[in-house]
Amino acid sequence: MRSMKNVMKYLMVVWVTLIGGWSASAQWNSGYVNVRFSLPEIALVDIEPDLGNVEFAIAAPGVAGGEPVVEHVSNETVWINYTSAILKNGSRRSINAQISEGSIPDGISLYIQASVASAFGSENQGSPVGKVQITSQPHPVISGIGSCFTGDGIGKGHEIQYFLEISDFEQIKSIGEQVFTVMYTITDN
Amino acid sequence: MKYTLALAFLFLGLLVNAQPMTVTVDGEVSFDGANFTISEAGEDFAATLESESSVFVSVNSDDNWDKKNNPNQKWKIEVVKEDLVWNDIVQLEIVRTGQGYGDKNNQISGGSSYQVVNNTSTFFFSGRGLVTDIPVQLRLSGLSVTLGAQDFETNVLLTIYDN
Repeated sequence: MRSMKNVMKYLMVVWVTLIGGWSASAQWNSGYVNVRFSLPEIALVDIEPDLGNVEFAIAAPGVAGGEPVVEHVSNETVWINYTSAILKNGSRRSINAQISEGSIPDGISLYIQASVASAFGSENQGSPVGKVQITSQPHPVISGIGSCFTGDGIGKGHEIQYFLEISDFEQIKSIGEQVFTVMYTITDN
Repeated sequence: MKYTLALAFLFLGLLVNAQPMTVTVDGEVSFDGANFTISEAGEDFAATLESESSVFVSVNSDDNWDKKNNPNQKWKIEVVKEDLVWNDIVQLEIVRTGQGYGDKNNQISGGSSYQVVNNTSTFFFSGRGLVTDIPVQLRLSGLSVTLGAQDFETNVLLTIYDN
């Protein structure tokens, strides 16, 4: 019986030793570093190609009593690219167009129509508003822009088509070359 | 006899149960704000973005007896992140870019390729003995303007274990 008690004591000592050894493989200590950054709001719009001149000519009618003929002289395509980052619950954005320099001659109207966005780029790109008359006041041509990017360059984003139409023949005068600038602005709705 | 044996076991236990080593992390993780801007309309952020400066990890011991008698204590470091504000689309990666300073026998291994820091603890690197100023770099990937404007904050926790 005494011998059994001694065995138990030794077993206890061995057990304590093993527990000590086991605790040596435990976690010792931790240190940490804080990582913090912010993604900012972004609203950028651009026209491609850079010198995207669009040229029209209004020719006299071929026959007496006929209507003047509007010709789209330039044939290069113009694309609108944009990058947008909005707050989580922020308003979606629009791209507005307006005449910023020069003026459209009397009796003539300028219209702009954006295509649907190209397949390139991300989700949440905007939708075309349709054929919109452009004046010196801003008019949305693309709306519903969320946090997105279209890609940069020709063939990316929305193709822009320009239409020059004679709206009031009585006001048309011969004035030679007329230059005006269309400015695009990305804005919160 | 029995007391001698008991004392021997206790002493053995003390030897095995070495004093804990400590890990400290010095430095700040900052990302250049210019990298969160877009130079050309239509573009997205760069695919990856490395932190501007390194942070430094040191392995030490507060116990002088341990420093003298157990200089080649083996250890390993695990890494985990504890998010305060985060989006899982963005991945935080970590890499060890140097050996630090220590005894010539105190070799470090592992962690020399970028690995994702998860919310569960994973092995980072291991070594022996006391080593100071092990340089560590952090990198972000998966950033996109499609995430919108938002803040991110997490704590990267390095834990040292007996190995």
